[in-house]
Amino acid sequence: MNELERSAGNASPANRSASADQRALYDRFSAMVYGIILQILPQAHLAQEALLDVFTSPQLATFSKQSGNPALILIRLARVKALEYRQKIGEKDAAQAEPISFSGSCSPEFIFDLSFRQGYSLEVISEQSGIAKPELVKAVREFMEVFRRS
Amino acid sequence: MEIHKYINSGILEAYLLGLASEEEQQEVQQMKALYPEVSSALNQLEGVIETYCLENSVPPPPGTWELIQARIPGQEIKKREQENNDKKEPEPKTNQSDYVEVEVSDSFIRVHKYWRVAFLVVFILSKIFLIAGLYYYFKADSQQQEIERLKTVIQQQTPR
Repeated sequence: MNELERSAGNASPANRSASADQRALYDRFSAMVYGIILQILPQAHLAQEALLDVFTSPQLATFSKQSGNPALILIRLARVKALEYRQKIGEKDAAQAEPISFSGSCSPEFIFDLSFRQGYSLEVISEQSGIAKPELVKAVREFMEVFRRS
Repeated sequence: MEIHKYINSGILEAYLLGLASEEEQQEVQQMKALYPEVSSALNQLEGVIETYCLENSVPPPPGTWELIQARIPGQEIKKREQENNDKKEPEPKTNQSDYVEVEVSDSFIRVHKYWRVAFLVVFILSKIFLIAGLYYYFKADSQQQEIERLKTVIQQQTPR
């Protein structure tokens, strides 16, 4: 009996199933998750750590029991983990609302970058830019619309 | 009309990207349950967002999956807790070893620690036999030389 067979023999069916689910998720979405993390956290070694956190997260372990698109769950989780790492290394803490430099017009891409990639809440962006929150939300939609049309 | 305004407001995108507040998230979930149009719009947007993220994919560094496996709870190699087992009711004895087997993909094998002692004993015995062999070889050789020398002496002393 080889190592693999013995391993399979000793692991509980639940563990084997969870591991297989996790492997399937990793094969399908790891590149996507890593891409998101790198957009937020460009340092490769930290990005890899965040990627490990995403795929070992207890939230992910229970995802198979939830309904919903696994890609979206992973996208949100990847963003949260990457922003946590950014805070850990002392980069801009969005919660503390450091002044955002608004140079020129606030394009949908700029709003998307501030909110999704840099982790500023829409409330903070609204407060600092003077743009109403509904307009910011619309800008996020416009960004996705531009992408959809392209 | 109002529902289309809601769908086009951008709140659904914010919800799916994780930018919405708790209150807004609950609101979207309620609207999703109430209006099939919202549910349908959410499904479409999920596809768009997934495509956007997939287009920005970057393959992770090699060996990442192995690191993930090593971190998954319950997958690491660990000694079975004998103390705990002693406290519990005795379980029927199985053929399992003292270790939880894990799936690995390296070129190493794992053996019991007693093999280390066995290896040391074999190594020391081999050295002893080697030294003893050399000792007896040189001893036999010197004895042979002595015999030859004595034979020569005897032959010289024998009266012709």
